[in-house]
Amino acid sequence: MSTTRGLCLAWICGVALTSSVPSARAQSDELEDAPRVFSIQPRPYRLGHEFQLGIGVLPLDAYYVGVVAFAGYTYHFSDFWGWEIAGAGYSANFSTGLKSQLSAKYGLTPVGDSAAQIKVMTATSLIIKPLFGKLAVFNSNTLYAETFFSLGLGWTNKGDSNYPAGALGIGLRFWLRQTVSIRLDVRDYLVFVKAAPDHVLLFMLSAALNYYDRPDGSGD
Amino acid sequence: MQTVFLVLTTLTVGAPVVHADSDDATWSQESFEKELAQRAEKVSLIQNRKFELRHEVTLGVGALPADPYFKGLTVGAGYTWNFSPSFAWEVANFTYSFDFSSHIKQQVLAHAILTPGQPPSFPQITWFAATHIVVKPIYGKQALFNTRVVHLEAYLLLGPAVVNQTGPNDRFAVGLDGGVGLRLHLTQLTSFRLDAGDLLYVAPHSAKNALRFCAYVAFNLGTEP
Repeated sequence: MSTTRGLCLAWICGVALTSSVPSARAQSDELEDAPRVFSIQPRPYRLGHEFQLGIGVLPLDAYYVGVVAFAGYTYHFSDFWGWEIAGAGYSANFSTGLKSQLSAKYGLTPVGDSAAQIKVMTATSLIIKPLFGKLAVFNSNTLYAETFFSLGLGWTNKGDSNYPAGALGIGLRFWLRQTVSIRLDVRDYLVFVKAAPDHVLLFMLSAALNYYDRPDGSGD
Repeated sequence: MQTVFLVLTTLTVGAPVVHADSDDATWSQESFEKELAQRAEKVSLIQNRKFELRHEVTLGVGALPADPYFKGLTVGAGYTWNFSPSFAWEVANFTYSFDFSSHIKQQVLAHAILTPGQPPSFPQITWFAATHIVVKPIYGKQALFNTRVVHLEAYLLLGPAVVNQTGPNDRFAVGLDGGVGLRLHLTQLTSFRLDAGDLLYVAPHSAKNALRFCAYVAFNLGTEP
């Protein structure tokens, strides 16, 4: 009797094990096929109407260094797209001393385009904001940040003439609160004095004031 | 996460007790909710870093764009010992510059041919080596179009440097190199770095600075993948 019961038990266990193997494999396959799940938190800060005031520097020209005062207005359609409707900078230029050095040492005086200095730069730009996240500062405080890129068209005043220009940029924004953020911008103005453009690199630090007037979730 | 859970559990479990002990039930509920909100504001949570760095080897390309007489296209390599999440020592960084004459230099040289006397010399950076203390205050993650997560880090670096130049005088100069950078982690073993900095250097006959930009691929060795 006990032998029969033992055999029955062994058979049941065998059937259970055998039948469970394909089931386990199927489960494993399902897990492998399952889509990867990311958990992205909702954004605590959103942009709507942005007013920007900045100060920057034009460090690359051999003859002068420009200190730039900048102002701009950007309308943000969504979390990912915005339009900098107008952005303009005025550059106060300071001589590097190269001009006087060339004159004193070699009797040379730069003329034409090479002597001309950027005074005003303007552009209207498309803004793309693919990256948003939070950063830990020394593992103790959190800071919300956004990375954005800009692509624009405009004009510049160089010397006594105006020239068409393109503008390419990258920037980082750090939120202080919903209405205030700090921006770091690096922008390359392509000034078409000739067919091959001159590059005018601008490094800028800005304060941005934001007014967001849409209901939550509409920025997704 | 555990801390948050414990705080919230304690507060939630404790709620009926507060409620029962108080004579004024409304006041108790309001004060409890107020306290809960206050405590929730105080709880902050920083996740562990997903990517830890240890021994880092870097290879990069860059530029020295600001000198009026030459523009440098650079290649560089370095080794960094990351001894803590917030601090590191870039033990050695070596950068070699392939220099191209600028328009101004060509004009000056063309003019100098027509004038008597010694032709002018324009010292150009051939290479420089530096060692840096690296401070990495910022680490975080950003959502890419709300679909993928990328991890990044921002850092500052500062340290002494030795500069080798062309020309008859001042072949070697000593200086100070400082800058900022951004790292994008690709995998546990590899990351992408962007550095921008300024190299200040002095020699008996000259003092100069060189703005530098460099993009590196960094290989992180010595940590578990």
